Amino acid sequence: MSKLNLRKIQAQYTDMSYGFPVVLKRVPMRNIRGVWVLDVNHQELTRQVFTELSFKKSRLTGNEVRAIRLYFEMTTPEFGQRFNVSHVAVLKWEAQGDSPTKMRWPQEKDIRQQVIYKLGGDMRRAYEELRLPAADVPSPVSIVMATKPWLKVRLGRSRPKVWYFRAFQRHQAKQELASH
Amino acid sequence: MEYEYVLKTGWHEKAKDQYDVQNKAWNYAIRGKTVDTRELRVVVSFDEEGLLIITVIDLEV
Repeated sequence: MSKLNLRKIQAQYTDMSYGFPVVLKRVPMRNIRGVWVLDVNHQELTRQVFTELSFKKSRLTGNEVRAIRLYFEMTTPEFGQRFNVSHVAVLKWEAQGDSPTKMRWPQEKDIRQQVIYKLGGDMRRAYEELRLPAADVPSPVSIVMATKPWLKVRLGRSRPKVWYFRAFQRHQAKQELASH
Repeated sequence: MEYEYVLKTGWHEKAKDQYDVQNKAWNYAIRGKTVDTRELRVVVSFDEEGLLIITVIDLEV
């Protein structure tokens, strides 16, 4: 296999490694030992996934609550204690799987704000966007990747790293113009 | 996520290390418990650019 065929940008990829579906768009992939895998900074991606999850427009599902708990390396009693519920309540939330947990909105808002706070996210945005309850219809977390500067995309000769950086700068400039 | 916790807190299970002839690289087994005390074995290998997760085995299934 030639060197150029070892990397590609895939239009869409659903990552299930977090225990819930994360739809990634324009995602860099790399062929390692015959298997196509994500070619991204995993820690940064995880951070991005949990930030997006906190601002999600639909209610958190059981699997998403479980992923949050595991991300912060908490047992069910520890998680329950932090959010003032019993560990049985946490187990019941998580047992919902891909369906919404049916927890009260203030409780869910508290969990989302805690995630944003721990990730050093924008708390002002959190207070503003989480004021009203999210929708009950489940929707997956979706991230468009190729315009993110943290991606460290390396695509060989055809599209070097700097190409993405310049594309991101153009995108930022357009957004600034639109906001004025 | 759970495998990351095992990689941080687990131990090297030397008896389960295997040499991958096809890729000419060693696969190392790390064993440990998740936050929820489930026993896992994580098989990892090394590439020019970093760590590869080869497979994750749930030892309680």
